[in-house]
Amino acid sequence: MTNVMITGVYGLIAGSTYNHLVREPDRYAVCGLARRRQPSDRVPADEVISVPDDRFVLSDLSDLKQVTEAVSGMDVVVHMAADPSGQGGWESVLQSNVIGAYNLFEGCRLAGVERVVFASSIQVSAGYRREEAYERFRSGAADDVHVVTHLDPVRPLNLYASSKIWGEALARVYADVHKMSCLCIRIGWVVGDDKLPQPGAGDIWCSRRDIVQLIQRCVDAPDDVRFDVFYGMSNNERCWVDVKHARDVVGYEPVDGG
Amino acid sequence: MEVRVMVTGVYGLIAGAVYRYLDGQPERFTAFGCARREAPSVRAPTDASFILPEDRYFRADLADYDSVRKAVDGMDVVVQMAAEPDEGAPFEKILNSNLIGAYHVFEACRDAGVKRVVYASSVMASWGCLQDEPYKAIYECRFGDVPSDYHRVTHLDPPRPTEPYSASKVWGEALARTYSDVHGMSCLCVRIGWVNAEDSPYKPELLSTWCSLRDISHLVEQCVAAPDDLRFDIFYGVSDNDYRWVDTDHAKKVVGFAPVDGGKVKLNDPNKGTQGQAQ
Repeated sequence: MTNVMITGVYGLIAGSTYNHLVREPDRYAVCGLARRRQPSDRVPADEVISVPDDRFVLSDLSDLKQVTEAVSGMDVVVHMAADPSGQGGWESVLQSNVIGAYNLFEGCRLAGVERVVFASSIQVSAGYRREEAYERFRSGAADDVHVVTHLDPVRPLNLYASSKIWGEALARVYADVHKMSCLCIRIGWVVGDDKLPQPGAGDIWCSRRDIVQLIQRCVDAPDDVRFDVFYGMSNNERCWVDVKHARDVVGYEPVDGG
Repeated sequence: MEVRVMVTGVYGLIAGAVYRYLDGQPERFTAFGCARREAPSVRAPTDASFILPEDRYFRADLADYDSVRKAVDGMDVVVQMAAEPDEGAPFEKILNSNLIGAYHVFEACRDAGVKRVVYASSVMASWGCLQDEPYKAIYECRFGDVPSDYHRVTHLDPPRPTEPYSASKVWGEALARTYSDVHGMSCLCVRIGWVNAEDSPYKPELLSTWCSLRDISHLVEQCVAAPDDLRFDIFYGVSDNDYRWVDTDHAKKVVGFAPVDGGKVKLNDPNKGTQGQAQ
């Protein structure tokens, strides 16, 4: 039995993950944390979750002591609470993604949590996507391009993406120095109705069931997976980021594709 | 025409050296400095004569956006050195100086139309490499265990921060990339090695990452004066040390970095892996 805490549990991806894991009560005891007890606007009506009171913590991650108490007793924390786009501006990114991520990792260290699965974003690599070579590849004008991997330099284009790089840097710190297992997922474009968000975005799409599968594989990964970064994409055509690494390390097998 | 350069955190050890280096070439640079207080840092050598002229000094606290915005107004280049320099500092300090402060500087420079930011990052962004061989052997001064040829860590390798301090430098580099790609600013990051007030590689475990004050001043100058079409890059700022494990060829090639100093290791018996010592 694995005790799993999902932060930001009323978000789109976090809620799908919650619903998936609670269906296996013999394997997971799932708790949720959020700063309000209501679903995000992005969540479709049929995916609204119901977290029992004794499995729910109300917190905005601004207070380290509160976070530490919330995660104590957990084996794995799936950290999805964040400003999901950066559209809330600098203050929102600062509070939720910069300070919130630090409090989360530090709270997990203090509480002895063994693993953090950190929700990063494809946006940390977004700069590649608009380069000419990648535009040509995506449009079909070229068939070859260097597939960007987790080992390539990051290419953020906004504060939100930079805040995810901060979170990945913390993941590295807590894995290397504090010996926690920290796995980062650079999540692609996930939408509530699971349809392609717009024409031409199929390259970075990820269906909800694929991202939930990858999160679950990270929760279940062998203890000796200490740090890694995976791209969370469906099996898309014209995909310019690497998903083979996630297959090799945690057995990710996407079933959808854009 | 002289380049107007603002050095932030100017009363710090490295920033003070950089300011004087640039100020010593008035035909090329007009150097300015800002700091949150008008006093040398505890790390800086005691030198009462180093007080900036009033017309070159701005009081600015990185936590206060408006004061930063005023300080960078009209500058061609800003050398962002104001930061919490202690890697063991509590998160609160890292947050205010290095995370929020770095954002304020990049944002103020964008708003003010500053063309280039030279961002003081740190070799500690790669410090986690010291957990792995052969870098671990170098750090532990087991020089006999170090192969003659090994990969020197480059700016293209993934960062390996080891505490919130070095993670904050990764954050600053991410901002540099963002402001360069999106806002058209030239942003050059220097991962500065171990610089000390004694200007000497006296600690054997740190010798390989030592950087003399004149070498780091020279590299920052090369970044300030780099061609306009250099839009983004990351350079390691370390002297030409024995067992240097980070790459400086890239800085040599791109901005003509030519270090003149270097820490030397005296080996007692390399074949037996005995401890070396700094000279």
